[in-house]
Amino acid sequence: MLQTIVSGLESGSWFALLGLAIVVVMKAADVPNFAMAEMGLVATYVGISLAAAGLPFWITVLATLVVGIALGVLIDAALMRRLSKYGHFPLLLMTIGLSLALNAVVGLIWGHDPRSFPAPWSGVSVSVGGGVSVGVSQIVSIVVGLVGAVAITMFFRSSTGAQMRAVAENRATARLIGVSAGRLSAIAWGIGGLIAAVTVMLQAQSSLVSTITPTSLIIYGFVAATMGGFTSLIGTFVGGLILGVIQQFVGAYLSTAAQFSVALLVVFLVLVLRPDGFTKGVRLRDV
Amino acid sequence: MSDSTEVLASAPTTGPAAVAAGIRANAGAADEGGRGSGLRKGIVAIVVLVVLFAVPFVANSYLVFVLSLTLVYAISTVGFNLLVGWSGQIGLAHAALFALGAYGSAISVQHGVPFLITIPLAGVAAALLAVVIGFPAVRLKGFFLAIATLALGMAIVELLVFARPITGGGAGMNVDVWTLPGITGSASTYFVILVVAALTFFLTRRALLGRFGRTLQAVRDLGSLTGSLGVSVLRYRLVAFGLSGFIAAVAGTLYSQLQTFIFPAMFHMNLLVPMLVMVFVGGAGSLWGPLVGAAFAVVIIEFFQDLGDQQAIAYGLVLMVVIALLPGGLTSLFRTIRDSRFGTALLRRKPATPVPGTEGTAAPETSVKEDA
Repeated sequence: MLQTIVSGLESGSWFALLGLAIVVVMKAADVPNFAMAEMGLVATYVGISLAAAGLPFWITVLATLVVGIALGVLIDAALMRRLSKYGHFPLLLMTIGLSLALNAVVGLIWGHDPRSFPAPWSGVSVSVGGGVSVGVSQIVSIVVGLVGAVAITMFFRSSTGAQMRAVAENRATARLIGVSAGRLSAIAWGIGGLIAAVTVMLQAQSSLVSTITPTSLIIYGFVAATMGGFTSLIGTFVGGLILGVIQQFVGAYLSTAAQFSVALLVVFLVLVLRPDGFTKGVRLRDV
Repeated sequence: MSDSTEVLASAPTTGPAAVAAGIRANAGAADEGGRGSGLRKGIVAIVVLVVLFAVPFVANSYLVFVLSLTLVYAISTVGFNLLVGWSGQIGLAHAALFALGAYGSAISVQHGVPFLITIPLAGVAAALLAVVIGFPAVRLKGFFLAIATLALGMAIVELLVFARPITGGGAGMNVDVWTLPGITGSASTYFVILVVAALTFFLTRRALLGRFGRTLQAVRDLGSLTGSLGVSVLRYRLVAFGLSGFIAAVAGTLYSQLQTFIFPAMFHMNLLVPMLVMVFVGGAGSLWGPLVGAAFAVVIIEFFQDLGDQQAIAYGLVLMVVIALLPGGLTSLFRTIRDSRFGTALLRRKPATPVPGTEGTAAPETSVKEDA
């Protein structure tokens, strides 16, 4: 029972983080990024290669994060920005095309075998009474997820974050009062790439990742983002955690084949019952 | 072509009356032009159809298969384009409705229903389901609708896996191929597909060029504002969903006949993404886009088939390049070229067709200036 909850919170943290990455890009650049998980995968695979080359662990972590940020900024500057005036559909398709291409590039360079990102604590577990033991890597996932969510929330309270919210609210007016929408979209994509890299890295230090990982990860990320109504950071984070726990319980007590369907059902119910996210109206809006 | 005459005709009058006259005259000209090119288009269509009908007699079976596949995708894309391009709703359950058509037809045929009857039956069933799926459209817009319909669509495909006793589960099922008497399998399927494709294109074109298509566009562009014109937004949005579902399922029935073996994994994202590509590359909201887009996608898929990972890269890259260079799709390229050539042709032809009652060839030029 406790084991299931911890596993649920662990995978929930991944979903929540990826959902947050999607929401951040959605807020500032108005793009639903279907290539988010692939961006994280590319960054993580670079890190894995560096680790295999013998670099110290923390250096490879840093390198992975830098690659994630660089990838995000690059994609925004090279591909996304000039399409933004044509509306949603080209942007959506561009991210789909990008996810296909990135995934295939990863397959071509590193192959399709599952890999892991070995951390100093990988495989170590601590017992928490009642004969239940929890892996350190699971705790790392949950803690990093929490820290990441708090950090992103703090960021949106800052001046840059406020500008980002302004752009999300009304792009034209924000530009009129001197907010640079282009710079903000680059920042948002950089943050998105960073979080995506963290997400996939967390998954890789706890279990295995391969070229099929992004497909499910991106869907769960979107489920989490949907639960936050694509705007609420808290809603997305909590939604991701709930989704992870539900999923683990369905897997443990029903069947692993039903996990996916249940996640889809959750999205649909949230969208039909509370299209603005399930936390809308629960929290007070700061004006 | 006769724009200059209208401008001249309305030049002497002034004020709103002139504007009204101009509009009326322009409308007449447009109709006339439409009718003239309509006849030409009709002839072209018939020639193309005849050529297509002759294909199985001269080409090898691989080419026939590729052509069939292109036509099936083109049919499906007509429906998807109706929903995404004309009514502006990004509903992503299209692959699932396509699957419903394929499975519905295959299962019905197994239980003794003649194949040709399963085409409209599956269509109606999918149309009803599409209306149910589209019901969130009342409340959702843009990406929210996209994600809700995507989730429902994927859930439907998952259901196909669970319904093992009827569908064969993840392992898939065989399809009993129906053949026209006296013709071999693949050619027969091709003829059926060709007839259905021609019908679909003809009927959809008629509907979209007329009142229905214009209302759909108005609903797309104005949203609930069209309610003030007495147009029910809800009804038109749901009708768009239903129609696109119907067409998707019709294409699905043909797809099952063409593939002769179907399994749920065929209808996941790996089908939905090419479907989006076909709509988009063809040009969302255009009439001939679906055919162009389907041909493009099939050629890309077949061309890069043996390359493995490189196929996916090529596919992703081609998609990205086309979007980056032509955000309006391939048909926008044709339109740009035609418009520019049309424009020059217009200017060149003016002196050659002086309007009765005017003297000299300078008049049209000045009228153009006024117009501008």
